[in-house]
Amino acid sequence: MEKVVLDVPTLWADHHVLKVREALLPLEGVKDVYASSAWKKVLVSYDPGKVNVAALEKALADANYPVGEGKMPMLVQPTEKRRDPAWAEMAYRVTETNRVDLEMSGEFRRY
Amino acid sequence: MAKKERTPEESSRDEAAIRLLEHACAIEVETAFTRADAIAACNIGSQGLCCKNCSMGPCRLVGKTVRGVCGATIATVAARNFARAVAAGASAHSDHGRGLAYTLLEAAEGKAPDYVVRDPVKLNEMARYLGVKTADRSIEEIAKDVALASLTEFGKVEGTVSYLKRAPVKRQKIWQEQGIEPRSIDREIVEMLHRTHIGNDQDAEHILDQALRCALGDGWGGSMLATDLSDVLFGTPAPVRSGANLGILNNNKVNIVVHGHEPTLSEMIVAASLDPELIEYARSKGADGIQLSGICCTANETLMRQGVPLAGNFLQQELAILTGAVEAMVVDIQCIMQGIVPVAERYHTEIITTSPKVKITGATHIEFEEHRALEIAKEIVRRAIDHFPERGEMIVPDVQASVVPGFSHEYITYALGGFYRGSLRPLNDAIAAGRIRGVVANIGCNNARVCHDELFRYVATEFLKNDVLLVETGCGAIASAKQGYMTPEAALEVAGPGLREVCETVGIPPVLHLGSCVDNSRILTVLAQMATEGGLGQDIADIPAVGMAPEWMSEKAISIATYCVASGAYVIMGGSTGPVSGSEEVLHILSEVWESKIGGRLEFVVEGEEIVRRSLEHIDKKRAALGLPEYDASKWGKSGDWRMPELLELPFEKQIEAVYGVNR
Amino acid sequence: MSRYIATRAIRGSNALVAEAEALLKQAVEEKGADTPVAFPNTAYFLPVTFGMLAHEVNTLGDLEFSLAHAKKLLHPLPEDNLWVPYLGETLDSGMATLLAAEAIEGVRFAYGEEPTLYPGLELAGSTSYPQLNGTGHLNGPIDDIQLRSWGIQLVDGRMPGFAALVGAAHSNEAAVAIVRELQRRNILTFLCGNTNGRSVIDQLHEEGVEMGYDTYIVPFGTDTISAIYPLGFATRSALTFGGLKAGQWRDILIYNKFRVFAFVLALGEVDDLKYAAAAGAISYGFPTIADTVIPEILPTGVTRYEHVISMPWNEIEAETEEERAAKMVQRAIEVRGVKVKITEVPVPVAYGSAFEGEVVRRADMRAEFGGKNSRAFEYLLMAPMDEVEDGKIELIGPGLDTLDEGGSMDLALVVEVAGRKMQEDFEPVLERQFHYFINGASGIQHIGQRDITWIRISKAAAEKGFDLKHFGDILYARFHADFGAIVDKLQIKIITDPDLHAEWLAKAREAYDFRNRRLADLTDDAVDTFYSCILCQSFAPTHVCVVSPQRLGLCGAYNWLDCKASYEINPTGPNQPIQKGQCLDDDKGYFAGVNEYAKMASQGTVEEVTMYSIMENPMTACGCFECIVMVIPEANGVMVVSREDPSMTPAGMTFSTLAGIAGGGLQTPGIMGVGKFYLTSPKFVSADGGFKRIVWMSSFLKETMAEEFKQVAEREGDPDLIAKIADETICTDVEGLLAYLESVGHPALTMDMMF
Repeated sequence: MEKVVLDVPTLWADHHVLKVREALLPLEGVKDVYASSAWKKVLVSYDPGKVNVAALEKALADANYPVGEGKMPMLVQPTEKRRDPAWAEMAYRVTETNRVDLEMSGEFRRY
Repeated sequence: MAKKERTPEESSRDEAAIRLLEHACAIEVETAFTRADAIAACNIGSQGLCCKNCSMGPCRLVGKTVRGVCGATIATVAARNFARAVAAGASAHSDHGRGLAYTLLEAAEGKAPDYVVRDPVKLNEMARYLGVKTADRSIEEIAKDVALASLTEFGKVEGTVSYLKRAPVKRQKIWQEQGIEPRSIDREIVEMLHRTHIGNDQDAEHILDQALRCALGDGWGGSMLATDLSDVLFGTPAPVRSGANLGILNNNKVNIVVHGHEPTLSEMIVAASLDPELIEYARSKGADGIQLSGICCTANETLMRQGVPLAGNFLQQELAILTGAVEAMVVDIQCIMQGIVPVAERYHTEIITTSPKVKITGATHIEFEEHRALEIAKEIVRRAIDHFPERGEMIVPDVQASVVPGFSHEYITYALGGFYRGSLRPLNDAIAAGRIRGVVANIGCNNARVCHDELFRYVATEFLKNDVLLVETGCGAIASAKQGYMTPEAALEVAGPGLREVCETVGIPPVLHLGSCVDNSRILTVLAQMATEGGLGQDIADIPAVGMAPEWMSEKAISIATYCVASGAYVIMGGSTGPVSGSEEVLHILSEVWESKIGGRLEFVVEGEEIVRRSLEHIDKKRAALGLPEYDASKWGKSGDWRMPELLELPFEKQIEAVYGVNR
Repeated sequence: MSRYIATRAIRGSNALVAEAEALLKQAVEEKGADTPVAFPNTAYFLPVTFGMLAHEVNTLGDLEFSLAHAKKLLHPLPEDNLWVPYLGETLDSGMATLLAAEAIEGVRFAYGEEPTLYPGLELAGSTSYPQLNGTGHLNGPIDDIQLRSWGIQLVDGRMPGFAALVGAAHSNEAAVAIVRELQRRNILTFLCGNTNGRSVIDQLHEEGVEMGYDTYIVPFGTDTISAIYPLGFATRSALTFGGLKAGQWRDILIYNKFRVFAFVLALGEVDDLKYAAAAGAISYGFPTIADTVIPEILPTGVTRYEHVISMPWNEIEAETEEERAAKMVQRAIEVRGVKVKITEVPVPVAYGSAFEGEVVRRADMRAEFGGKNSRAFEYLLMAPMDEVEDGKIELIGPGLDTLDEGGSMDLALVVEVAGRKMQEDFEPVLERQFHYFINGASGIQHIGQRDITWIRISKAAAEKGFDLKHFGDILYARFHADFGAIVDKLQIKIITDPDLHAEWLAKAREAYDFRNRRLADLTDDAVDTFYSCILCQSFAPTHVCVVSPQRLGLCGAYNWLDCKASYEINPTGPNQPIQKGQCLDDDKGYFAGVNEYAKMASQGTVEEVTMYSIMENPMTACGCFECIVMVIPEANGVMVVSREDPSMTPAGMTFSTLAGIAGGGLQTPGIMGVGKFYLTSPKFVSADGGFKRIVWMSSFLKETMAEEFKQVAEREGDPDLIAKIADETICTDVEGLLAYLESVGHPALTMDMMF
């Protein structure tokens, strides 16, 4: 039994974990899979007699989770000095305490 | 009494300044520093005891002389002098505001095509306060009416200044009861001058009541309008990244320094400096490009909005020229020392005055006109480029710090909760819990008679250690920027444990840059909002906060201090015994009497240690009055990212179980 | 926010919005922009999107607007050094994440991929999906029916809030222990997410924990995207009970911060999306507590107390998984500031309201009392002080050990109560509590009341040592805890001895009969005091219920006697006596005292209120009414829709949509929310013609209240009246209704015109 750690940069949430496991577990010789969306890595325990790393990588690539490739899409990129386009866009210009905050913040569950 | 000449190290705490002072000494250039050593301050005037309001005098009320020719007492004379300083300061800020209102008006009418409303949402917010209708109207229509309504504030026929209603209700009531609500901005300044004319108001307390009213017209009138109008025209600031100190001057680029207080022209110069044609022109003269930088509050304005780096604060204006690297220093209004002209004469540097209000003998005057603003700005930039080949020896100290400025009050509320939940609640909570002990507004000028930046640096360090959040404007802000305290990293390095937790949560520096000196109105807005947010009393006077100007020198600083006191704050003016030290009675009125009437007090303290001691004492007193827990640093400091690096370094297989922590 | 968390949350939100965009683009290409998108049985469309943006999503195409807005909320990552602030930016990104997650679930519904199938799982109560034909599935979003039926409990604090468990617990034992701790405190448990493919749902399923609405455990989905459902639930709470309107985003979020006690338990490693979703939850004021090492965010403000807490599971100082779970849940509750009152009940099984819905199946049954093969009854009576020995619990007759497995025997639960403030009128009020008290024990099922009581003890409970005398322990503990103000002493007899059983049954029946007569005599005219109920003002601040003997509270939970007892228990509580005062209009039910009180307690929103009319100044409603009565002008009558009925009605709206009009504490003539037993009252819209005005009624009501309605029909002098009332199986439109009414000759057609 051998273990290999594969970097999967597009494995960033737990719905991807389900897909990654689905891709690897059916392979013959794959004993155990630990797919981690927190670290974007997969730990595979496998029988080298039955399956090899290349096959694991292919299975992942076929499932759209290529090893060591791709990255999380960033829709907003920083600009040189002012990094934030949203500031002008969302236009938040408040100069006084919000009425709602005050009205609702009282002790309400009196009973 | 002639004073001993100070060494550069005794004159400044700023490394870049020290280097250039040494250089100035070596090449025998006179600066404000050396002149301060050479000229003894008038001992009578500095105590407020000289009355020159009529030609029966000047009367020097010293020794056995306790009344002037007309019979005016020491208290009357000191109070009149103080009050006239307030009037002058208020007029400066307010005239600045009026200028911006005219710019907006011309922009709205299409007469100043280079200006547009960059922040329509803020325009609507202003309209709401000024009673301008917004529904179904174009931005231009609203802008025109907002500009006209703003101008009306200066000479209102009836009623009071509209922005007063931005203050907490309790504060407004105090103003009403004391009869110090400014009726219009100009009127209170004029009345102040009138009252202090020979043979007029001759009761110190009564004179000073008018000083309060006059100053309020500045803080909640002229200054606040100036801030808002600038934001409408040039955008409401949000954090940017930039640099500070003379090291930002570029050896290979055309250096243009903007200096003064208004953003109107400097914004155009920013635009001109980005013009590809002009950049190409600069290249044709052998430069790598154009480097814009700023001094004083023009610097703060362009820094907050455009990220233009800071060259330095008030006392560095001559020093910037001394680097030999400045092609042009473009000045507008206020705090421009005439001394820059003789310094510049020794270099290729051209001093260009631009305001119709300001000409300096020996400087080039290119008068700024709104309707062809960009064209003039380009002409100025072109002139600067033309000087580039004339450069001689350069000494640019390799000293600069990073800075993250841009904290408009609007951004502060946004930073604390985002678009959906923005409020000051997290700030109030942090103060109430004791993570933040209190807030200090550390602002004001430089003063050549005080070691440059020393007090700023000292009090900032002490306050941060004590978990006090600093909000800063003007030259005080530039001092902290140069000190490196306006970086988010500073929170981790110099702030106390509670303040560090808050800074780490929000991602802010422990010292917030709120803008130029008219932007002290932003501090008023934040304080007002803190009071209405709840948990820290109902009035600005209840908040554990202190305002201070440790190195102040200008009449504007006196006006600012006075409106802060009138708004309920405890204010300390540092570095000297102050302009009324000759009259115990006036000192008593400014502190005890004012505190009993309006909740704020004004004190003059020379030493940094004493400033810090009194401030913390005041903060703790206010905390106790609110029933907040006593400040205890040992309770804080547990939150943050500190556990993560260790976990990140482990190999993946170990991480899987290590996330669950260490087995016990 | 810590920079570590901010970086991950902002990254996760960017990625999820991008993913949602790609998914939507593909869906629109494959299925068309007009393809309908809907969550089942809700009037709030996609609730977070609806609440925040006032945007109604009906089709795939509508989702484009949501995502465009989400994109505006995105931000770049904080830099490694000289970063600019990130807290506000992270919270915005969190909101973007929620909008994107909801859009993804919307697309999944359009594809029929939601709810997640889960073969072999049988939920004890869930959103209904007829199209699945009984295949095992997770719950998906909670529907409006369940939201409203939990309403009164959320309002009165019996159900303090909800916990969203995301991921998988450290072990199956840990999962069960955490859920048990939450159930013990009546906190709703919402499940979603996974860690390495295992979800806390899998863990509980493997351990045989019953999930579903009835056990307060709702499995939403096995990924973090489904964590949008709890936030949709929170949003709808604000819209339903808070009287807030879509688009009042700030109000909705602040409402949740202060009034919905919810928190997130992040179980297992936390990835970018979990951080992003947690940031979204923080905008609602919901903190996150993780069982792993993550950065803590302790300063307060956006949430009421700390924002993010890390309690690494292995570092919790405790011996067992149960103790660790207890400490974690305890900490979570402190951090959220949830007020939880737990009555310690000394029984060998778990105890809490969450177990009220548990069903004990025949196969799992150790013994039963009542039902087909034996008779059980319960009887509470007032006794003189000196005749009651407090805490005396007697078992008279053979015990559980004499019964075969699955056996049955007669049982009587007789409680004698003494108290200085006790009144005979409170006997039935207290007696009705037996049902809730006894049902709270895990593995015990209680159905019915009086002499139709039916109790089952499960094998599991019996194995843990549950015995008959524990019924006494439960009643003793709960009566003292909940009714201590009127109950000074109580003693309990648990009778299985046949002779004594018969003797007490006779006494009890006499008492039941007496109470029935007393209740019949108890009319609005016979009393001079009504009671208010402003319990719901915690959720609907201007709503006032006026409870009279012949009109119970609209939630069905409080009648006049309950209110009277409640006032005795807590004189400054939500139920205050209202002197009727001068009767201004006998027919419509205007009373000077009632008007005055309603005006005061509704902060001037309601000036006048009638007790017996739907047409003129009808009583307001919060959101937890059992039925909605609404005028159908064409039929000259009213229809009654029960909240259990998801079908279309002749008014052209479903219950959920109607509820939006009826609730919120506003008077809307022609529509009102009522308790279902008010339908049987002689004072039911008596000013407008009474029960005979009912032309349409949900079949659910007809079935469940058949007995009661039969009597009403007789009272009204038309024994066939119920059959003349249409229901959703007959028609769901006005034309069909009119045709039916004509065909059966419904009396409303010939009554005076309503207008």
